[in-house]
Amino acid sequence: MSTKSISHSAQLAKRRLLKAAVTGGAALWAGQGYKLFAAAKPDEQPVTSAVRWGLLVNVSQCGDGCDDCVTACQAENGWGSGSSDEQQSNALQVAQWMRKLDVHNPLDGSTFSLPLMCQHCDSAPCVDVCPTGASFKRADGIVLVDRHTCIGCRYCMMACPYKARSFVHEPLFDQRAHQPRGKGCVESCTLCAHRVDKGKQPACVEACPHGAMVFGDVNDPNSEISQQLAKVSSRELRKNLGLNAGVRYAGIPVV
Amino acid sequence: MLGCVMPVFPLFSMKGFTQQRMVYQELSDHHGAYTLAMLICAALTVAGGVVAYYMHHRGHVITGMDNHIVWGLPHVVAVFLIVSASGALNVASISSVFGKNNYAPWARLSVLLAAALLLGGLAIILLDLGRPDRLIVALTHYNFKSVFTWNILLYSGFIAVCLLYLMALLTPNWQTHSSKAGWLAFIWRLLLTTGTGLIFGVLLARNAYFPWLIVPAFIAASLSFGLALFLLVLLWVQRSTARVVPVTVLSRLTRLNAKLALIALVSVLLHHGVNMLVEENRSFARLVLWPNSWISVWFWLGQVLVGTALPCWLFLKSTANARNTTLGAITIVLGGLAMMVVLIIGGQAVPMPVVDGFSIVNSSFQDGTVLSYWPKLAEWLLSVGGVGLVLFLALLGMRVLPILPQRIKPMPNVVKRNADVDAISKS
Repeated sequence: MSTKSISHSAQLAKRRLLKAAVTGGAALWAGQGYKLFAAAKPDEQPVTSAVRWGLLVNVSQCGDGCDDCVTACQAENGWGSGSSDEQQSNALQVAQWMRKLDVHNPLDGSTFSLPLMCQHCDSAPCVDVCPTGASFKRADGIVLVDRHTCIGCRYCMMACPYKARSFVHEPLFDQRAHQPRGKGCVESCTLCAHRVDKGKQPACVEACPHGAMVFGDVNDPNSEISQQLAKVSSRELRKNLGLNAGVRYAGIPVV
Repeated sequence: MLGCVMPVFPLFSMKGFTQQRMVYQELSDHHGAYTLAMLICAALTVAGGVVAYYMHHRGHVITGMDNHIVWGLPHVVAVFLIVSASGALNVASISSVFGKNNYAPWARLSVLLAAALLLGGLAIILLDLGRPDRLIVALTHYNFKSVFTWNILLYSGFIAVCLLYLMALLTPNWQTHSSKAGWLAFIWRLLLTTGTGLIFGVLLARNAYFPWLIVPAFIAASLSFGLALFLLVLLWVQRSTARVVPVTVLSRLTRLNAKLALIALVSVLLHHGVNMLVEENRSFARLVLWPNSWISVWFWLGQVLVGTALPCWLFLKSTANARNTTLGAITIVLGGLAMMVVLIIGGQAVPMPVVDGFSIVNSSFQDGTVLSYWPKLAEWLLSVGGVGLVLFLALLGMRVLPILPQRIKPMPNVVKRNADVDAISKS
């Protein structure tokens, strides 16, 4: 085989390789783009019940002493360390959209750690008890508070089985544009609805260094969360209340 | 100066009173006690209003409430006043519904006090809202799945029913309708207390409240607390305006109040007892019944000893007299407040089993610990302001409407019988 033909073959191989790389890359990009497009939603388009957003927290992967998810939530939504507000409120008066709990296992004496936030229940007690309808559930399962109609009666806080709601005890000035908060109103984890609607992950999920949190559409059998839920044993907290929470926990020992 | 005197109530069958048409009149303003009482109540109401405005400006940071104890002293007092509104109607119901005419002279006062109590309780709840300026939102946006919404309707309806009832009692031509209005008020008051109990009963997340037992407890408690408050007002009227409340009437009312206080305690004990049998509710019942927490101190010392045992002893040991009745009624009121503290504050202070089956050992939010609560000045003033408003409205009502019976003279034979009863009790 002449040098020319070898060179030609090599060029062909290079071209094929380049073609394969470009095609593969394009396919990968298109796939990723498709996934993003599927999750992203134009602002004028209402959310749909075809989707139900859920969160799976794998407790066995959750780092002991790590609270990166909480810090990320604070920074994203402008509460706690993410804001210069709430300086006059005491430790139990400041907002607690999300918190880490160290839990004791009575069987073997071991402890494990988990993040606790609004569980975005399907049959949300906070929604049921709100007298003005300010607490509401979006069609895609995200439970929110309409700050314009919340009268600050705190009945939803009484009804929440996870103490996941906070009442703003003082005037606020340092707020995020996408997350308005206000004195005298109740608030809680929004599952970063503003990010989810743009096809992004909630801030806590993105920030978790241990990959302990999986977010996605539980109605889609091909989503990662659905596949994880099918694969690992998980549970909802306070299952006896029959709330069908959108947040599930894997790795909690059976007692 | 006396206001208009209206002959409105025939008392042909009344025991203990002259057989004549009952005459009612407004409170005259020459009583120093009245003016002083009005000034005190107005001052308390203004203080409550000012602190509510300040709280609206600064936020609830000035209170002792937080994200655990979200309902504090204002709610304790407000719920107490609201359920008492139902009980304050006892005397009117006994008269209009059960046809006991001995109590008819005081029916108007009973209805007026009931309406005033409810308004006072509602004022506290309204002014304690995070956004009291959004009252219009509460009145225009309804979620009919919420017990709160139903209670807004029940409370508004109760005021309307009380006004209707009062009009029926006040208007000579409407006398024949007073019994119907009495029945309506009687049914409505039971609905009101049921609705108020259900505010807590539907909170399945809270293991302090057993839905179908807290309602009867609230109904029984309301009858007791409201009657005690009515007795206190009645005694003030007796003392300040030289009216005579027959001893027989007072004795029956105090005995009834003692029995109602006992029934309220039994209902509450039943509630906690059943909670002890339910695995997930046991932690709260244990905190109430076992003497190892501040909650149990409020229960045993407050509701059981001061709120039930003491008034029962005072009310049942002898014929009623002003001193014992005043003391007994005050202890029932204190016991009622203690019951509300146990149920409302205690129910929030008990750790919530957010991770069921496990105990929480560490949390930035103090999950897993029995919390404490002590109200700050703002809550005290707001609550006392609500009580001031109740009394202000009641006094104002007595001043502008012919609520009080004119001086009632007991019949000679009743005077003799009362004297005999007193002699027996002394011996």
